[in-house]
Amino acid sequence: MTVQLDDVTVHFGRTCALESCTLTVAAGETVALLGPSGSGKSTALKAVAGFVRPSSGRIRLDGQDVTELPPAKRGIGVVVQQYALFPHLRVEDNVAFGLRAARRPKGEVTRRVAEMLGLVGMTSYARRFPRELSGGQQQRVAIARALAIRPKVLLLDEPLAALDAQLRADLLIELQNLRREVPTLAIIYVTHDQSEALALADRIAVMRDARLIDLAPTTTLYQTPPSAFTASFLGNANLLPIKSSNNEVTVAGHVIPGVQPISGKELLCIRPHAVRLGAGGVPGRVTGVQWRGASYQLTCEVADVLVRVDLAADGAVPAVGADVQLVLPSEACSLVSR
Amino acid sequence: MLVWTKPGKALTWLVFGLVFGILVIAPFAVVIAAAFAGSWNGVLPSGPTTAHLQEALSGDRLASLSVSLQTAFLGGLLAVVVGTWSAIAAHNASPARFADALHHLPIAVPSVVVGLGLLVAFSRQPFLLNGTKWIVVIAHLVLMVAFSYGAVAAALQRVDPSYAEVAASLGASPSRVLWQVRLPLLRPAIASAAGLSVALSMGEVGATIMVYPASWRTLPVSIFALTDRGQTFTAAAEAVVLLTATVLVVTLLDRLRGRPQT
Amino acid sequence: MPPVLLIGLLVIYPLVLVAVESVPAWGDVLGSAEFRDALVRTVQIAVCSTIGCLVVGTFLAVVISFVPFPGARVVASLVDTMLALPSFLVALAFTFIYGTAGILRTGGFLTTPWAVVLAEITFYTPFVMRPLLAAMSRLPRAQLDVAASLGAGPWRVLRQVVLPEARPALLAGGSLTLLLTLNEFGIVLFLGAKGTTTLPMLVHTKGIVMFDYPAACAIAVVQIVLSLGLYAVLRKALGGRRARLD
Repeated sequence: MTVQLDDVTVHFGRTCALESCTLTVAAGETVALLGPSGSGKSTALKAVAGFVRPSSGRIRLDGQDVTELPPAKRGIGVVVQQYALFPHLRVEDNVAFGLRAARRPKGEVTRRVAEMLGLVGMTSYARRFPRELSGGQQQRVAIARALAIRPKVLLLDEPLAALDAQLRADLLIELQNLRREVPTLAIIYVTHDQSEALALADRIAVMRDARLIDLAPTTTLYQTPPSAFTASFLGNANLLPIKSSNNEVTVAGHVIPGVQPISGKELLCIRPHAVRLGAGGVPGRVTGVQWRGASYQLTCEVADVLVRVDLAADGAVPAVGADVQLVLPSEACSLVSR
Repeated sequence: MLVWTKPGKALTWLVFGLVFGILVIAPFAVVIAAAFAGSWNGVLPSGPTTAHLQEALSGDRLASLSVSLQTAFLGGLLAVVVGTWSAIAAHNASPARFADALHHLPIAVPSVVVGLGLLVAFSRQPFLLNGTKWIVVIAHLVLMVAFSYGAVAAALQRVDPSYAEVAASLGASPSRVLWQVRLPLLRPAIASAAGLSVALSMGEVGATIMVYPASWRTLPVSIFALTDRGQTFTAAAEAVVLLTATVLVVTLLDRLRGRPQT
Repeated sequence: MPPVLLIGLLVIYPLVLVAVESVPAWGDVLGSAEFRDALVRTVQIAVCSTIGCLVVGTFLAVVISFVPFPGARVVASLVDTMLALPSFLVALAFTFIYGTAGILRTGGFLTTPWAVVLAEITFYTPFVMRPLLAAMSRLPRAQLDVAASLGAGPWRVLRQVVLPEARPALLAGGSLTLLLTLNEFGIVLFLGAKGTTTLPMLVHTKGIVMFDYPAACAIAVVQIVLSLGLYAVLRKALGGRRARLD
């Protein structure tokens, strides 16, 4: 099923929570809405679910306008950050909730509940109450409950945010598997965590200040970010001010070979892992060294700007205060506007 | 959240407005309207007048207001002192359940029964108080003490004991800890209990009507006497005086609460 | 513990005297039709009022919490204020609304027990609403949203998501209201209907109007047993949590 937001604006009182958002998610596609808190990503998701009413614009499912339809009539699966499992119902009754609301025959409810609990690996917990489960287990039940009604669209609102790092990694893999199990599902995945977006999404929509600012396939967005905000939010890129002249780009007076100037783009974007230390680079001074286990991260000062550099842990590491030269390979550089 | 469609919401709010308006708001609005009405023979009152209010504020009737205020302050504030003291004492002692039950007993039985008990107990030796204002004050004290006790006991549960422990570790004597640390921390609870006690005391009728002497007639008793004689408009005017005085006093006491401390 | 002793003197000593004083009147009072009628009436009025308060209070609290409108907070704080007002105000208002010369001119209605019930519903509904509003504000909004997205209509959400979570609050508010309506005096006194004598009213009549202290005390003892019995149940029902009358 195709989900379409067509110029959707949402106001809460006087504050504008989502401004003119247009986005299409195709069947079988996963789109991540990525942005800091308050950027409007959750509002966009709630508008699709029907929890908030847009002040203007339309929501369409397979071309059909559902803007005026209450959530109960949309048939969309929703999983929220705090899971919202019904605390007085056992796991199996939570999963059966939607099926019973739809008055499915008893046998079908039992079968479907068993199937869903199997899918998320929670079969042995069917008789437990939510408070007897860990956060990760609760999240699995919430996903089973949402999928039980056979939605064509699944909305995930920060589904992993309340979990610790190890569980997050495990559930991320399970979500990837889920996509293969239900290949026609359209998924909108709201997150502020770039690694979740990179791991799961076909396309990423970057949100900022109630607006959708960049939308592109995941790899494109990562490798050639269209804006400074996207570059730094997605992958923690270094942004260096440049001067352009005579088909040359200079950083701190030093020419970067192989990079052509583009009018209006005044920042050079490069990932920390792409920067190398070596002769003939931009001169800088090391101001900090952090050991990160598999690598070191250096902070170097280059003409009043701090540049992060990832170094393999097995090589030599300069000390704080050392003068270094930073090599910026042209294939890893892209130019963005401020 | 619950009702999603516009017509559904509109219908829900309409029913809410009707129920809340008719059942909850109307009675209070009607009393206020009646206080300023010359007569009320149709749907709406007629002949707007301040005559009833003037009567309610004249001589003899004004005395009732004064009696009510004195009783509320004496009884209510004594209740705050005794209730706070009890709560702190019970907090440190082990049989807190007994003190709990004791202080809540007067509001778990009808106020008339409390009044009857005081009447029976204080009409004989060794405590002969019947016929004095003190039996009224005691009735109010007994009825209001539960609110202060409850509020302070609840606040004591919430207050972090480490404040008092730190104060003691700094060399403060127990009385210094009480007056300079524990009581200030309890101030919001005590102030709101004082407000509630005074407000409820101003409107108390059940126990008062059992014990009051002719010389000490509170406003609610006077309002009842008027109603009983059929002078309902003057009764309404006195009720408005009662409400206004209560709101003023409670607002004043609320100032004592101070800013919530974080 | 001087303050506890003081309260003991002011509370226990009178109640003991009431019990002692009541002994000679037990036979007469318990056998009288007047007493039995008042007992039945008291319980009837209290039960009807409590049911009314639960229905109305639940409806109002649900709308304030889950179908909020501009000003809903003001209404909620108004409800809090009403808890401190005297109950006889409602009865006084009823004489203007339902009295012989009032708005609705329903004549005889004012002297029926139903007038007392209606007045008590008016006055005690806020007592049910307060714990309900608190419980409902603790219910995550996301649960209602998710329930709706799973296809549940408002009634199903109310029955299967909201009410199970609000049950302890309903129980607390309901039993408190039952206790307070059993004890209610101001409303019955002001409506002054001959046909609606309740136990507290009878205590007043016997004690103050007829100066029959022993009879008044005997009725008071019955009332104390009734109220304290319910109070004990109330404390039990709240599962060890303090029964908050305050």
